[in-house]
Amino acid sequence: MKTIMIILSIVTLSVGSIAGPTVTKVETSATSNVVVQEPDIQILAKGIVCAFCAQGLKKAFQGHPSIERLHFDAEFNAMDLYLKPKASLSDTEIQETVKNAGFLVDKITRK
Amino acid sequence: MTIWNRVIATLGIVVLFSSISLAHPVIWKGGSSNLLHVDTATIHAQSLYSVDYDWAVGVHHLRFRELGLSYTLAQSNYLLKRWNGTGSQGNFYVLSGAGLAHQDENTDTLLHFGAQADWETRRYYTLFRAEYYGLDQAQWTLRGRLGIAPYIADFDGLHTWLMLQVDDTIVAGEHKTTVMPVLRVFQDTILVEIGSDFSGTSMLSVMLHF
Repeated sequence: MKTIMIILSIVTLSVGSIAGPTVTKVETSATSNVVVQEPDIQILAKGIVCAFCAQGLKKAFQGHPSIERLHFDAEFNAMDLYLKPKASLSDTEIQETVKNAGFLVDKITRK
Repeated sequence: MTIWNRVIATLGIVVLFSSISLAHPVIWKGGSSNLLHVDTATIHAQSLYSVDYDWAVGVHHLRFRELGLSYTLAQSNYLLKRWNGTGSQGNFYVLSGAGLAHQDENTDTLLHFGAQADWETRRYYTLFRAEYYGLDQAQWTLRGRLGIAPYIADFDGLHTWLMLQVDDTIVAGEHKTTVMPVLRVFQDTILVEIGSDFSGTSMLSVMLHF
C-alpha cells in the first residue's frame, strides 16, 4: 500500500506540474489575426461547479446532431454552443438537456 | 460467533463502508459511476446507474482481505433536494440498500440507510454523511469532509482538491474516529483519491463516469 501511495503521489504531482492549472487564453481581435467566432447560442446555467459532475452535460450536447462544438467559460456559468450549418436547437431541448444533467438554465441568448 | 462479531473481533471497530461514493451518489440521467477503492483492510467495488438526474441504482461489493468476508448489496440513491445557485450547488441525498454478508458457510442479510448533505463552489467543498448498517449489530458511520481547491482549473483541465476527512464509526456505543488528509484529482471522467492518516491506514480510490 505504501508503495502504491508513493507511486501515485509522484505520478499525480508530475501530471499536475505538466498539465497544471489551465490558463484561459484570451484573444483580442484588435491585436491578433485570430477570428473569434460568436457562439450561436449562449446558455447561462446555475449549479455547475464541478467539471467531473458536469461531464454528462458536455457529453449530451456533444452527442446532439445539431451541435458542432461547445465551450464552457472559466467560471462554468456560461456555455457557448456552435451549431452545424442550417442546424437548430430549441429552448425546450436545451432546458431538458440541462435538467437531465442536474442543472438549471438561467438564460438562453441567441446570435 | 456471528459474522458481525467476527469482524469486530478481528478488526476492532473500523471504518467499514467509508467510501460508498466519492462524488455525488447520483449523476446525470443515463450516466454510470464506477468505483474501485482499496484501503488497508478492504477492497470495494461499486457500480451505479443514474436512471434520472435524481435517482441512481446499482450494486456494490466489499471484501475484507484478511477475513475471507464479503458484503454484496443492491443500492438505491435518491436526490431529495438540490440547490443550484450561481457558482454553487447544494444537495441532499437519501441512501438505501440491502444485501448479503458472506463468510465461510455463513450468510446474513444486511440493510443500509443513510443521508448525505453537501455544498460546494469552485473553491470550497463540504460534505456530511450519516449511514446506518444493520447486521446483527447496528453500525453508524458519520463522515465529514472539508475541501479546498488550491487553484481554479478550466473545464477540461486537471482539477485538484485538498481535503480533510473525519470519520466516526459507532458500534455498541463505542466510537472510533479517524482523521485523514485526502488528495483528490480529476480530469474529464476520471477521478482519483489518495489518503493516509499516517498511522497505518491509507487508501486509494479510482472513479470513472460513463
